[in-house]
Amino acid sequence: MPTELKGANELRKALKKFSPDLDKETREEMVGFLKPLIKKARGFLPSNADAPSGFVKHEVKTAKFPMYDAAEARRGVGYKLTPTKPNRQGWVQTVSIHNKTAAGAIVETAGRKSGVTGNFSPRFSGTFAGSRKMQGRAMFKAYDQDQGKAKAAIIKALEKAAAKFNAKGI
Amino acid sequence: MAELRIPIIGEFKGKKAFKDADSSIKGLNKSFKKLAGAAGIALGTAAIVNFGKKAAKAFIADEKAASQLAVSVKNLGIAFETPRIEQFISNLSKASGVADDVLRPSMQKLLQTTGSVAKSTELLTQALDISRGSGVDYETVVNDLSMAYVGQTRGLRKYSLGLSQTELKTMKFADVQEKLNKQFSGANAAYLDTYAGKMGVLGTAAGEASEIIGKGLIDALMILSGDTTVDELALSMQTLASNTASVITELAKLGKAVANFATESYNKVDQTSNNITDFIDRITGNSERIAQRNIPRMGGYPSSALGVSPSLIDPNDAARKKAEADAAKRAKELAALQKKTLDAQKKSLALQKASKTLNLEAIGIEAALKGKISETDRLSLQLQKAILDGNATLATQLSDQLDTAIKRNNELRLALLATPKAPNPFSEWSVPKLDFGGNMLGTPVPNFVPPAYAMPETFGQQGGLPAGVVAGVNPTPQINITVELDGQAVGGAIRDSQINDSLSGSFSQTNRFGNKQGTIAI
Repeated sequence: MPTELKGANELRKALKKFSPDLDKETREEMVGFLKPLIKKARGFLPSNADAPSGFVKHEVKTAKFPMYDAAEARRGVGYKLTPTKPNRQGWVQTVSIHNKTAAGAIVETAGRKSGVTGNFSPRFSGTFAGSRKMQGRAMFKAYDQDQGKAKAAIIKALEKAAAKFNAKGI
Repeated sequence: MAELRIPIIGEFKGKKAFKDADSSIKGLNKSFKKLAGAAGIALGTAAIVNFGKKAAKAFIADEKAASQLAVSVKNLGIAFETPRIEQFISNLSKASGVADDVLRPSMQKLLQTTGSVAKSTELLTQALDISRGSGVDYETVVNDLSMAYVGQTRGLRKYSLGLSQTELKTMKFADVQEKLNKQFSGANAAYLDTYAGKMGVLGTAAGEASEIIGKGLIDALMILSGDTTVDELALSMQTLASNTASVITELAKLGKAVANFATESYNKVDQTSNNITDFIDRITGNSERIAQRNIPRMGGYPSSALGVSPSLIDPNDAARKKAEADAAKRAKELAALQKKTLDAQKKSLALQKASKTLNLEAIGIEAALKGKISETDRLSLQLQKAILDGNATLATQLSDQLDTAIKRNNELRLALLATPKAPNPFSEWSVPKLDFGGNMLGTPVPNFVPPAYAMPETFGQQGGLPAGVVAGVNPTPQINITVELDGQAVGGAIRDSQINDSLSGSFSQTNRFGNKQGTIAI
């Protein structure tokens, strides 16, 4: 569940418009907390050699199931500092991390619901971390291991920026 | 599959359902308004206030444009012409259906370019015909005309006058104007005959009416509200909306009544006054005033050209004449400048043409073509020449011919390569194995002594072999040669050489002292 920080979007907008320097500073501070998290998550993704051989990208004429490419999947793990569109429940995500590629998402979640059984999911070397919908092998695991430190730091950075902005009296 | 995302910071913006409800309310509101309209429920107060605001805004914009034009005219030194220009714009707007908002900036531009009111009004009127005839919008036409006036005729291409760019460049503005006039004359009148034209005139009239109402409203409301500026009034208008509506209605009623009364009274008074004045003038024999009264009233003063009394001549007449003379002078200057530029261009073209005759590349090609060359080379040279001359047709033709020639050459080369080796015609011949003596070829002749070649005594030791020396037996004879040199002759030759070297700037290395003793050291 995200931590609700009311007015965060408005604050980012105001910073961008009236105090670009402070906006840049805040952004860089947040990026500083998110980058180690992303790096860690990327590290949890298996290399092509460690992934199930049939799942690794290969030449086929008709491929419907996503194929895994370690480099591509690692590139798909990143962060976003701009607000998303509201979801069906009306939530807007101001700061988030993502695992965008389909193959990366499969590595992340394969066996989460049905258990690590059968011929596919047991072949992934990584173990799950986290719970329920926040359970996974890479990004979720990195986030779980972080123990909310990055989140706290980002909130603090935003609060600091708000205080500075208000102090400026723009 | 949806991408996986961990929200770190989020914000609750409300559910979609809220938005749906909001849009539904808006829709309901619209429907209600429509229903109210259909049922004839009065929503008029807001509409009247809106109209009032729009009218006031139109008036403010119009006044601003008029002020800009007035300033511009003043800066040109012909401020006294402002009423005449305004009158002209107003009349033209009414007659053509082009709003004065468009005419004013156009007039300003033309005045700034020509400096002449007469010329500007002429061009402004002509621009109407051109615009209607060509479909190009009025402001662009005016802009093109003002540019053409100062010699930049590039913009006139779009009117398809059937003139080349060079012709357009070389033509005088008067000629261009005549050409445009010939092509588009009467287009505006024809347009005004159409339904669209009539609607346009009506639209312009409505706009003007709106501006007039706006002015009246502003004046009236300022009196009512006690505001001193329009901004204050605009604020007050919102709060006084409902009251304003009724005030306007009452004002309109009152205005109509007053206007009717005033017109009737004025007409009666004016007529009576005119009759009395006329009666007195006729009795006193004041023919001058009678003549003056009968002149059509165009402005404050009759034109001096009508030959009326000098006391009635417009005091601005002299200034007007001066301004027109200045403008004419400027036009002449512009024409002279244009002619000068054209002359310079002509000279430049002539020089370019002359330089073509000294085109070394072309000369080289011509020279090469006169020599004895192969077909491929000839075609290549001719192609190069055609390219230099810019003759695309000939170049294409020659290029094709060259391709064919090259192809033919290649075919010939391949055919030659494929030709079988010619057989040796002497291959069947048998070489005789015996010499003429009947011996086997290569057999040494026993006791063979080659003949001796003795030199006569007269040659002595100066050349040839000495007597008794047998060729082949004594192959290294001793030869002694003595060369006697005339020291004076050699010295003279060296001196000449030194003089030549000195004159040509070379450094001489001769030992001059050696010459004295009859020996030379170089």
